[in-house]
Amino acid sequence: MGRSHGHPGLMRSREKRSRPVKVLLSRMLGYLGRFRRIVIIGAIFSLIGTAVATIDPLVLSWGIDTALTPTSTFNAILQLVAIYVILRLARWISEGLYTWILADAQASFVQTVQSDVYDHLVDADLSYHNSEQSGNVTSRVTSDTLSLSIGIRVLIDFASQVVQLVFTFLLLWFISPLVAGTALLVVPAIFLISLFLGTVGQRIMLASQRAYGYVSGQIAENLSGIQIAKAFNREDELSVELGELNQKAYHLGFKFMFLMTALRPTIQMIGQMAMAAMLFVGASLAVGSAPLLTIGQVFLGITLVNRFMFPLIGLSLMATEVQTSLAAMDRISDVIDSKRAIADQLEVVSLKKESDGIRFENVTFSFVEDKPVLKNVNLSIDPGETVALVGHTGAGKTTFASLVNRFYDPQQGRIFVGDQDLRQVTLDSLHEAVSLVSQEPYLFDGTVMENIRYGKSDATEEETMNLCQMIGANEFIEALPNSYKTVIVENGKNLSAGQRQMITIARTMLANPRILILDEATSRLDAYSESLVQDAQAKLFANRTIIVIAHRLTTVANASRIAVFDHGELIEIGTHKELLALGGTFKTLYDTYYIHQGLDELS
Amino acid sequence: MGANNKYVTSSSYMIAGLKRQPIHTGIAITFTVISALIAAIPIVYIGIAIDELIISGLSNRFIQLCWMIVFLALIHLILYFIQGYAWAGVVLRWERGARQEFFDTLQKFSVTFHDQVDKKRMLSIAMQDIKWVRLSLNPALSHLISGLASFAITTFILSSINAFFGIIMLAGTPLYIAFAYRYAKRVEPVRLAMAQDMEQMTVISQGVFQGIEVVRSFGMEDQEKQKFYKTSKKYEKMVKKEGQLAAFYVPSIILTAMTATAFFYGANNVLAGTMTIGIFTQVLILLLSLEAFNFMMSRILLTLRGGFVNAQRIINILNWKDTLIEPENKTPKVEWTGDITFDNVSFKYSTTTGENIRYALKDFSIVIPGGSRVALIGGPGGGKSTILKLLLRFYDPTNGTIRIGEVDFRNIPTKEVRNAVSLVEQDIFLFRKSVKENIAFGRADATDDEIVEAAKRAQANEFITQMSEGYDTIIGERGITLSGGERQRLAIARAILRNPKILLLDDSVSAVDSTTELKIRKALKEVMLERTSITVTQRLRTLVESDLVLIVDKSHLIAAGSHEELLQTSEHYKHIFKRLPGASSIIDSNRVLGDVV
Repeated sequence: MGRSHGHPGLMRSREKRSRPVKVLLSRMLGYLGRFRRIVIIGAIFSLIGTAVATIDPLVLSWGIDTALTPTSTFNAILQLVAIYVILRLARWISEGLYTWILADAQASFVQTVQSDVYDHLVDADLSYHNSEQSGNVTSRVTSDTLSLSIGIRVLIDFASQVVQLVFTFLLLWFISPLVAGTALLVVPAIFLISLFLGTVGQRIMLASQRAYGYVSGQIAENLSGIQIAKAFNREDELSVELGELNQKAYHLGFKFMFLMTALRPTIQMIGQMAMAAMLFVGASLAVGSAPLLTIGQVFLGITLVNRFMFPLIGLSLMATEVQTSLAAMDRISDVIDSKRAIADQLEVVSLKKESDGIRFENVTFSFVEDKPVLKNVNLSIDPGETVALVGHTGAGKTTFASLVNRFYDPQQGRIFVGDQDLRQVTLDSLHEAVSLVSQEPYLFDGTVMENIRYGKSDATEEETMNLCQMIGANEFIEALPNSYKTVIVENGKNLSAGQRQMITIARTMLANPRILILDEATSRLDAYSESLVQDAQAKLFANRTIIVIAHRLTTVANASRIAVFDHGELIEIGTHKELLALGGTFKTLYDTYYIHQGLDELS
Repeated sequence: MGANNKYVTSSSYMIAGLKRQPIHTGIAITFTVISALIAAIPIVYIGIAIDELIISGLSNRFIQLCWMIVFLALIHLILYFIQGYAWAGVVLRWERGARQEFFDTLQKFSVTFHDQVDKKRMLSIAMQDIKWVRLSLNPALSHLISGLASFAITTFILSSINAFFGIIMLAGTPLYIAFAYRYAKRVEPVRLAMAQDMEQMTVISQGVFQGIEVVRSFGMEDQEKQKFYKTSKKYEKMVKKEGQLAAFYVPSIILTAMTATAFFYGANNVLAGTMTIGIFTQVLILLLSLEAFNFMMSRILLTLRGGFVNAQRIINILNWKDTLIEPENKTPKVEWTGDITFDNVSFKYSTTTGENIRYALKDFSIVIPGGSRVALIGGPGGGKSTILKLLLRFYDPTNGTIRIGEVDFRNIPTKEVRNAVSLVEQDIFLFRKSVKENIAFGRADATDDEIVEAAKRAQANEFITQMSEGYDTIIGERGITLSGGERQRLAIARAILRNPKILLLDDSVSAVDSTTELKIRKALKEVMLERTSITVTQRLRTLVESDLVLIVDKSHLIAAGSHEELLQTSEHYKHIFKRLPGASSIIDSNRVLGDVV
């Protein structure tokens, strides 16, 4: 656990992006490419809507001028009203279609990325998962993909915003270049605002996100330790502690929200100032003996100056959103780009049915460079043989087991099952043949039955129950609230460690592997249950290859051979008797350790 | 905080948080309304200015009007700042309070609650659902108030211009609101499904990432991918639905009809000379501003109504009815060193899925003399841990009573029980704090000397001082950087420092190396001194040295007595004992046992 090794790129959660914007953008567009047609159709509707939206004030302004012209007729006005209504409807429909289509594309996009990221994570090397909290990994799948989808929408919106900006400006220009020039007054103001948002705003946003992250982490931890908090009467203190973090998050959140809310009136004020300026400029042009503008055009100028501002502000706000989603794309890219150290090679074959027995040839392995956990290990385990691995904590026993499962590849040397190099067999076929009961029992959310059948989903209920009967698990499972249908949550928090271990043993035994690896598999069981498991194992797995890591003398003594590890080296190997006779490390271990599992060691 | 508040509806939950800060909420709403009203005035001035322009050109009055617009813009800005400030404060305080209340309430709920719920789900409600409700207050509710105020002022101005304009507004606005309301209700089932799908996705992926080794070793990657794919597809459908709700917002059409009618009517009036062009322009701009608001309205309404769904999810949790009830009357004096009596105790765990018919403990009766050392032994799931949990008053017995001295446990507040009773649990949980803080977890006022002393007695001082930062070393989440033996000794130190009257030990520990084993036994001996201790154990030594051994299996008390007595009388005990590691050597060396085994 908690090791820090493997791909440095995947490990750290960085706030700085590691890839250039161009690469990230093209990736986002790449994902979008799968929905190219639908997105283009959506974008077209969006553009139509925008274009129409820019035109409709024009109709109103004609209306004003028409009304001001004494010769106008009732019909002329009716026509304009009709045009206005038609334009509005056209806009309503095209915007509706755009939203409709985009919602579809966006949802599919999120789902595609989610599945893609998830698949990569399921396949990622174990070293990655060991170094990251599962909560962090999960947020790659959930929150990062959402940020990404917001970015995508922004990119699509970008086009329509630009169109609106250009259209509006052109219209203003046609009214009068001077009017258009007046509208440009808002540009520097908007520019300053967006600059402020991009720097100060961004910083506050990140700080506030982090603060909320701490709150979330604290709640998660406190809920995990709730029984201890209750047992020690510490609820009040924990509540105060959370209150402090909560307060910090509140402060930063307040800063950020105020900044964002202050944005709108500032823009509105700029808009109103611009309106006043437009009124003044427009009016100056509309009066006199040879007016350059009609009143309708003044109205149009006033209306359009606001329409000119919104896409501008929209574009500047996008910068922040695009930043966020680029950061998400970057983290996602870390996952997708990571090369798996362990993957099926090109020329792999299935592990042959007759391949059995394990051979380590000069195997050296380290998690961190220069700190080998296994050093030049040579060990051959015959088919049908039970070998016990013995040694102090950190001697390399668990690592040995992991290598047989090919959770990692050794840096040097080769590992064989039968005469097939592990690197040349498919992982699927390997995992079908080899099964591990690991030290830390892990159960999935689901029923007890589902958990036990995890490795063999086609096992019948009867088959499953028979096995449980045999290893002595049936009794306690039957006593659970819903027996085999009892739902397990949070790695079986309502079960004792012994019960969890029993279920994992049942799971592995049901999978019926050719090679069985037991890593402290019965350490949490009471002696009686353990003996039942051992009886069942003797019956079900007679004459199979078994590697057993155990602290209990009985288990060790029953093995056909014992391999003694010390600081990553295989130092002794032989039968129990041989090793005792040898008088080496095992003998010392035996004297100080196993023999003391009795009564009289305290003397 | 109102941890005892029960909320009836989701809206009462949302409003309760606002009611707690009436002044701020009042200010926020007032300024929202005022600033919406003020925003309409410059438009009126534009109309006047245009009329002025037509009549007398660029007069002084016209220029004055231009300046007035600028001035009002400034006033509006100030008002809006105040409004934004007030809203930000109100809703973020609401959020802070809601989150704290949620956590406090969860923490107060008895263990029964925590047995049933998934921590990941609770966390997602505490963070996500509360945030969604906040979003429904601001920006959604605040914008809605502002928008309604705009409608009101526009109605007012238009009515004062002309009765027909008034009729347009008075007829159109209610219609608009009615349609908008109906529209918003459609989001509820969608939002609920979305929240659930998202939750499920989180639960699935976190589960798989935690158990990735198991997935890998059974070669189940493809099945897991498939499982996730299905859920994410379901989620996709809901996201799509929610997004598409925002399309074709019907009330827009009503507003367009209103504008078009006003346009037609106004233009004709201007043509007929019964209305000035300035007034006409003013009406059009006012209606166009409503359109700008209308543009946001669909999302605002969805967010607001969506918040109701999230609020409902929250109060469903908050309204959980606890079965463990604290005594109301003043507690009688408890003699903690007295005998512990289990009087015909039966207990079953509550489940979320209907009635549980299986007892974890059935008709359990025993008197544990004060100050004795008791060992519990028996098969997995037999009821040993349940006994310990009942003694902490994590639960009350379903039937029967537990007494300490003469007092029923039900009549003692949980706080007092847990002050006197301490637990060293099986799976040691340590907080992400320093070693020191973890040891002092049960007694925040402990001095450094006391902490070190406790650590020494628990045989932990040695390895603690070897750590890089000694007692200030921070322990990783779930104490991951420590070995099992070290964690257990820290937990023992934690218990020693509490100096409990009754000690509960779940010592079904995995085998450790010999030196550690020896140290743990020393530590256990220390912690058991001078108090009643009840230990779940596999250790021969503990069994032999106990005053009383209880065999608990299949929810029943099978036998009770000292080690020697049980060896003589209980076949079950002999059966178990025989299989304990090291037992054979005792049996071999003990002639007394020769005939019984």
